[in-house]
Amino acid sequence: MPQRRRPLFGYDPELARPQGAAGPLTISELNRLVRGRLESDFPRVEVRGEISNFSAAASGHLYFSLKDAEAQLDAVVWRGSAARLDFRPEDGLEVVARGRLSLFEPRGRFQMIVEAMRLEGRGGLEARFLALKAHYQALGWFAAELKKPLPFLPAVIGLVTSATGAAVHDVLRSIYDRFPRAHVRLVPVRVQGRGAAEEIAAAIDRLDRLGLCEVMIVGRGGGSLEDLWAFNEAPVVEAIHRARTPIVSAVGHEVDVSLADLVADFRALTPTAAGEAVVPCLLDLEDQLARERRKLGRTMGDRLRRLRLELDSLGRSWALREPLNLLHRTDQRLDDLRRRLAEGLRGRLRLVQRRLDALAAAPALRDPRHRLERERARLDGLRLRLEGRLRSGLDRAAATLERQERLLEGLSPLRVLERGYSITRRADGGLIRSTTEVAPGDRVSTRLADGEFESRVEA
Amino acid sequence: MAKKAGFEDRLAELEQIVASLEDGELSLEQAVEHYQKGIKLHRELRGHLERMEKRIEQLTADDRLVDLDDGDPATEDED
Repeated sequence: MPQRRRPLFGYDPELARPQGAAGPLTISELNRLVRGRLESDFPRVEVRGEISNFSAAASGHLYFSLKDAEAQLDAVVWRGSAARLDFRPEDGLEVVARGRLSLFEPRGRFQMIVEAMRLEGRGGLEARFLALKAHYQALGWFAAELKKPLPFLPAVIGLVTSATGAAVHDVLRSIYDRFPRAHVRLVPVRVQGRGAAEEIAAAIDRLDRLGLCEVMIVGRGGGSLEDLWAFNEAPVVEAIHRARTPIVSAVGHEVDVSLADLVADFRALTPTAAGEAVVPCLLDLEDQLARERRKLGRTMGDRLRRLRLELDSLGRSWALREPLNLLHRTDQRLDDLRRRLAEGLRGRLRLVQRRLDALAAAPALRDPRHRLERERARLDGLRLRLEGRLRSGLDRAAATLERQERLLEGLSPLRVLERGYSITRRADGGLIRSTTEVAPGDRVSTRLADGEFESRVEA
Repeated sequence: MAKKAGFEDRLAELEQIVASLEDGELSLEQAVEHYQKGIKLHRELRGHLERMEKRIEQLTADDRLVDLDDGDPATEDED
C-alpha cells in the first residue's frame, strides 16, 4: 500500500504529538501512539522461532515467548485462535507463527498477537521427539518386562481411533476377515489437532477403567510427523502406560515410530496388522479344534481296538484254553466211567473204593488223630493203675474190717442164743434174771436166735 | 469379563490331552478319563466359538454403548 514510511522513533513532532496537544506526552499517550503505529505498520507478520515460557491461562489464552539464539519476542494466542491450533504448543517446539504486532500498554511491552501457528519442519519436532523418548526411556516405560501379553481370543476388542479415517476400516476389515464373530467397541476420537492427545488419552482411560474390552487398539493411519504428533504427547503415552488392558498401537506406517508405539504392549506396523494381532483366524482355529477332536477319537479308537485284539489273543492263549481243556478232559473221563459202569465194571470200582478206604484208614493218613488216640490210651492206663492201687488199699482195709466183724460177732448175745439160750424180758423191757422178778399172770417176751414169742407166767 | 481359564489355555490343555493319549503311557482308566475330558473341552471350545457373534458398538461420550451398523461408523470428518 502506498503509505508514507516514517521513522518510528525518529523525532517528528508533527506526528508524534496528538492533535492540538502541546508539551510532553503522558506514558499512556505515548504507549497508545506506539501501539497504533505498531498495529498499522505490522498488521501481518510471520516469524519463526522456538516456544519458551509457555503458559495456558485459565481464560483459555496462551502466553509464551518466541525466541531464536539471540532474541526473543512476547507472544499471545487469544482463546478463539488457540482452539483452532492443530497441535499443543509447548516449550521447545519450533513453530512458524503468523499474526500482528501490538503493544501491551499497561506494561509498555510489545508483543505479537498470534493468529495461526504451525509446527516448523521436522528438525524441531524430531528433536522434541528424541527428547521425550529419552525421558520415557529413562523412566523405564519401554521395558520389555512391562509388555502385557495379548489375549488369544478376546471377547471384546476396544478400538480408539478416528471414526472416519481409513485406519478404522482397515482395522475392522482385518479383524473380521480373520474372525467374523468378533465384538468390537469403538471410541471415536480426533487423532490430530489440538486436544486430540487428551481425547485419545481419555478414551483409553475410559475403556480401561470400565473394563469394556480385553484388548485395545489405539492408532490412526499414516501422515506427517505433525499429523501423528498426538501419539507422541504425554497424555497418550501416560494413558497407555497406566492402562491395565493390553494395548496394541498402530500409528501411521512402518517407518513412523511414535512414543505410543514404544510404550504399547504390542506395536502393529499398520492398522491391518493391528487387526491381525488381536484375533486369531477363526478358520484355523476351527480346523485345529476339528483336528484335535479327530486325534482324540482316533487315539481312543486305536487303543480300544488294540485292547480288543489283545483280549482276543489272550482268549486263544494256552492259559485261558487249558482250564477249558481240563474241563473237557474231565467230562470225557466221566463219560468213560459211566460207560464202564454200564459195562458192569462195578466190582472193579468197588475194589478201587476199598483200596481207597484202606488208604484213608492208614494211620499215616490219620496221623494227628492217631497220636491223640495214643495219648488218650496212655492216660487211661495211668488212670487205671492209679485206681487199681487205690482199690487194693481199700480192699485190704475191708478184709481187716471183716475179720474184726467176725470176732465181734462171736461175742454177740445173738451168738449165745444160737446155741439155744434165750433172753426173756418183762413187758416194760426189763431183763428177767431171776424168778423173783416175775409173778404169775405177767406177760413176758422171750427172744430166741431166730425170733421172739410172748407168753404168760402161770406159776 | 474375567473367564475361568482362557480359550488358549483350554486349547493347549486339549492338545496336551491328545498328546498324552497318543503317547499310550496312560492306563486304560486314565485314558478313558482323558478322553472324556478332551471331548468335554472340545465341546466347550466349539461352544465358545459358536456363542461369539459379530458386533460393533460405539462408546458414546456419556459412557453408553450404541450398536453401529456394519457399514460406515461415520460421524464427522477428521483426518
